[in-house]
Amino acid sequence: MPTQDPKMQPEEQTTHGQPSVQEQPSAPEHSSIQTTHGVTFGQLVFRRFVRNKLAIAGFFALLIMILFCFVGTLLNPYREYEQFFDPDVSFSVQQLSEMKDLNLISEKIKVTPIKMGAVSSILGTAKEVAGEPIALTEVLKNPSSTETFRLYHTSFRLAQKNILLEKGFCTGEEIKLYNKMPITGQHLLGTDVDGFDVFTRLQYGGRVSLLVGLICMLFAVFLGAVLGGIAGYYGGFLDGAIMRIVDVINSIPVFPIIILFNSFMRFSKVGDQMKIYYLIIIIAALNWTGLARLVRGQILSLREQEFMLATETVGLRAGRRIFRHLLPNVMPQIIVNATLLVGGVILLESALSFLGLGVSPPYSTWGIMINRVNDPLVMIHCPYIWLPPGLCILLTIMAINFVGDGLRDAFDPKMKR
Amino acid sequence: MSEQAKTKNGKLDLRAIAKANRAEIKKYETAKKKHHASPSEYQTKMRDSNNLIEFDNLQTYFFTDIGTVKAVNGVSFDIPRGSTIAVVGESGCGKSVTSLSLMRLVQGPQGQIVGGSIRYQQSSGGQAIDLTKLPDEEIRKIRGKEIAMIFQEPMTSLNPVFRIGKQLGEAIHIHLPELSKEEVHKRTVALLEMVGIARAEGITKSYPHELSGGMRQRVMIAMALALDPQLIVADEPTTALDVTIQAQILDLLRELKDKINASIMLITHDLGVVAEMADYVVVMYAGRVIEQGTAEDIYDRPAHPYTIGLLGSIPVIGRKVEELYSIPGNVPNPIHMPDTCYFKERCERCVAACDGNYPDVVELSDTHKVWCYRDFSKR
Amino acid sequence: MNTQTSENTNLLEIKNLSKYFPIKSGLLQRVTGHVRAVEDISFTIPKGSTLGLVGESGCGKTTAGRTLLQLYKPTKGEVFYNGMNLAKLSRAKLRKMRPEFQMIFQDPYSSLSPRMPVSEIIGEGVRAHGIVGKTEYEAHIKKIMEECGLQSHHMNRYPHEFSGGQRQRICIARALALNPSFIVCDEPVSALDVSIQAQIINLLKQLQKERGLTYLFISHDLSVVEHISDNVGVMYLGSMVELAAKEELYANPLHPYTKALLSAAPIPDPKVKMNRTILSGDIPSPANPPSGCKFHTRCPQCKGICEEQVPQFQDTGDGHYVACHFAGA
Repeated sequence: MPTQDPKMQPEEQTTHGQPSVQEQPSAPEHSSIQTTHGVTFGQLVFRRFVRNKLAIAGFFALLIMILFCFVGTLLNPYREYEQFFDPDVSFSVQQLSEMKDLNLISEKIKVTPIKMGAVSSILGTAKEVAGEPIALTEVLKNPSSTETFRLYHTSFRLAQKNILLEKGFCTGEEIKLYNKMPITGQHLLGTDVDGFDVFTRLQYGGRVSLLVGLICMLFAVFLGAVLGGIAGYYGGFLDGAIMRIVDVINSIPVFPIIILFNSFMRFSKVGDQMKIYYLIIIIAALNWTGLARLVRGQILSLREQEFMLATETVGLRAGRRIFRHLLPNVMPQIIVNATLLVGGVILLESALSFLGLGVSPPYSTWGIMINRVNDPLVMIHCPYIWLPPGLCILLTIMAINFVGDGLRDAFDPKMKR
Repeated sequence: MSEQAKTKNGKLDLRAIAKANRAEIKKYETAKKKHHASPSEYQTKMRDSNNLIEFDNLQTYFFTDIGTVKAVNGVSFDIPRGSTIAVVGESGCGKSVTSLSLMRLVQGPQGQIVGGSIRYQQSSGGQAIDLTKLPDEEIRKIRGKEIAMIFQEPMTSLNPVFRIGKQLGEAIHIHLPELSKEEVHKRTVALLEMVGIARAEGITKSYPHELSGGMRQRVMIAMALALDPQLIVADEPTTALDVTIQAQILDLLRELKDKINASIMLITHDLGVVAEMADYVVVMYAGRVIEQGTAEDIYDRPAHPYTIGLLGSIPVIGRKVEELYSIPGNVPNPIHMPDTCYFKERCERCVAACDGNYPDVVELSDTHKVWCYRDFSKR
Repeated sequence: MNTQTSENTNLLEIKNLSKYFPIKSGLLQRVTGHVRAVEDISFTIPKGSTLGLVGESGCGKTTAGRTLLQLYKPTKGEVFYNGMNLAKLSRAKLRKMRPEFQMIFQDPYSSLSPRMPVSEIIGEGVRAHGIVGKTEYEAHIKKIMEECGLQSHHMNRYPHEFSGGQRQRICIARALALNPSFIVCDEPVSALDVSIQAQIINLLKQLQKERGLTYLFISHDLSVVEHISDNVGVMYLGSMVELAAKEELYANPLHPYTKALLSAAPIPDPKVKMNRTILSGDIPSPANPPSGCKFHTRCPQCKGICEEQVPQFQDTGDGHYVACHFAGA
């Protein structure tokens, strides 16, 4: 229908409504456009983004998180599935000296002298009494001493454990998992109940969490943009069909479906590695609908704009009209929503892992790591096991949301407030 | 503002401007917050007791990140009692910002009234007050009651979820809380009848979307008239309407003005509408008044080259010209303006003096003023 | 004006063109009625001339323009362009024909793709249709831009950097780059400032003179239409109510609606305070138009016959067509 509102004055039209609802007279916005000649849309967005302090903080936090998870592992001597052990036995000075020479222990550590106490009448064995820890170098100065020493807060890796056994420093039964050990120089965030190094697990777990978020987002964006685009551009039956699929997916309850899926996978004995991929697919399949709706709505309204009519009068083919004229105009919304989607997916993945429905151990994700909090002893005495992954999730999601909001404001400054 | 100083290697240092302007905004915002109302601060005297409103060197600036937009830059004119004054100009010339300054609705924090005054003679022998200095609570009592506004878009100016009767009734109730429900309703119906709506009783029960554009504009006018205002500010009241409907609304406005004895401040770009309605005309360009006078002054003896150009550039029914006169160039944006005549670049009647400072006022007659260096004696 | 004789001089002949938009409602989107946006209009446009189409909002003038360019599929009727029936062409053939007839839009803010530089906006179609060879391409774009009053250094800028008037020039350049012979101008100046309007109108007139273009000029502004047109058609609620040469129509309007329109147009002269015929009431909905003569609900001369019979759109002499029962009287 012809709309006849003659002489809409672009600069002033915005000032005419009730002041509380209406926008700022676009004079500022408009003029920024006029004086900044030769600035592409991308540059304009970049400038506005950079000016947003929260968004920039979020961006750097995210960058640090990514570096920590993907590059940090290269600097870390420990592996993901490396468990740490602890010999439950006392060593003589000679043994300690030998271990030092074999590079099993560092000379900087402290050792604890052990004395035998009175024989317990109940157990029938002597009770060990620990003295004050002494530096190893001190102990080694006196090689003839008959004292024995314990290596508290010193762990051994799997390869080192074998050497200990070969050399006969201790027997297999005497070697135990180094679990729930506190923060030391060797383990920056201690070890968890399985003798895994928490710091290392944090890095590898972050990898899975971030990758799951990213890959799900790519899947969802692809599905959402293509299906939403088709629905919006062609309309009619295709639109109806796609939107009904969206409605169906939106009405599927997420958790029951994943529980179902999980038991199905367990039933068909899917490997743990494969399970991650399936999980990604399932999460993506449940998350593209929002984007599809958004893209469809945008394209529906863009399609009615006169510039699309102009492409028709110029006689352009459908492909060019969609990819050169429509999609670039939907890109901002897609980018913003994709960013926020990553956050959502990471949260979902963590929640699933926490509940034991997602990735399962020995793979680590932040969700699994928090899951340890189920043990009340861990919760009370070992916050270093469950707190760091929690903080990581919090930080990452907040960073992503800040970046997403920053992008939205940068793309569309009028959305602000 | 010292933005000329803020250049780096000959280029504008945008960052410095942004920073300075943000500081500027803060200054005005804090000044606003501190303001405690003591009547002596805003009471004033009218220059002429015949005037309802006197704009005196009003300055409204927008402090943006890329510079200060002097949207209204030293505007002075009077609105005499019972007259219709039209403010004409193209987009961005500051005509709307002038009216918003009068209503104190300039969108903050960027937009600030930085100087000048708007004197207003209150009704019933009250004091004259300066609207720019009036505290917020006081202006709220005047806005809508003594000074009412009609907006351009009748579609968006009404709340779509309330019935017409309720919206109108609310406007009455806020300012006259002592009226009972029945009285409010009676008044609502009477108002709708006054603006020429035939089924007034029925219309009170309809929603805005059920009415046509013309009807909605009538409702807006009824709303503006609800409290017998002294001044009606009509911002492009017919721009969104069809020609035949526009004729109806203009007719109605003229008729009503006499009936309720109010002044009208008409803001428009349509020179045809101005000729129909206005007693006095104020022509604005890039935030300044460039010419003002009675309608006859402006239409019969336009003096400023811009006014002459505007009148020559509109096609008129029955006037045959091979080619329309067109003013070259574009409408400027009032930012980083040099202190010369703003129209200089587009003017085809420049004289040597035009390179100098912004021209002073030339009074061609008692009513007719123009800001231009042309030699008017030779005409 | 006669449709049979002047095959050679008429670039465009529209015969009984109608466009109905279905109104769908309910869960199954069943068609419950039609908006008769354009109903049974016929006219011809001689080569090199301008037909002005005036009317108020909702009268179907924009739809008429779009339908005759086949942007909407016509419900009924034929559109002969140089003797070829556009309504019967296949999609592919129509696309090949597209450069011949172009369109300029009302809103210079929404009619340019916001994420594309100007050179691309103008040149896209030129490349798609191979209007000029690769070697001449750039020179062609520059020449067109110059003709439309744009500078060649504007080529790499984006639409948001331009003012409304300049944007409208870009629109004109986009249309002109394809070397069309017919252009539909859909309210090309109504969104522009007064001083810019004149620039665009002059540009359009000048281009017409230089290139022998044919225009269909759609507008609600009677004075602009008078200035630019050779013939003028007046539409009301989807129907053409009057069609005549410009001088004839403005001097001697026969249809009461045309008379009312002319009298309602504000004149920029404070001394002219004429007594105008102010039409009462609003424009009825085109989904549910009045019976008989569609104008009878607002017509000051309405008689009994008007409510029952649809008046014929007929020649009263000298090619002055009018659809009114009392036009002769």
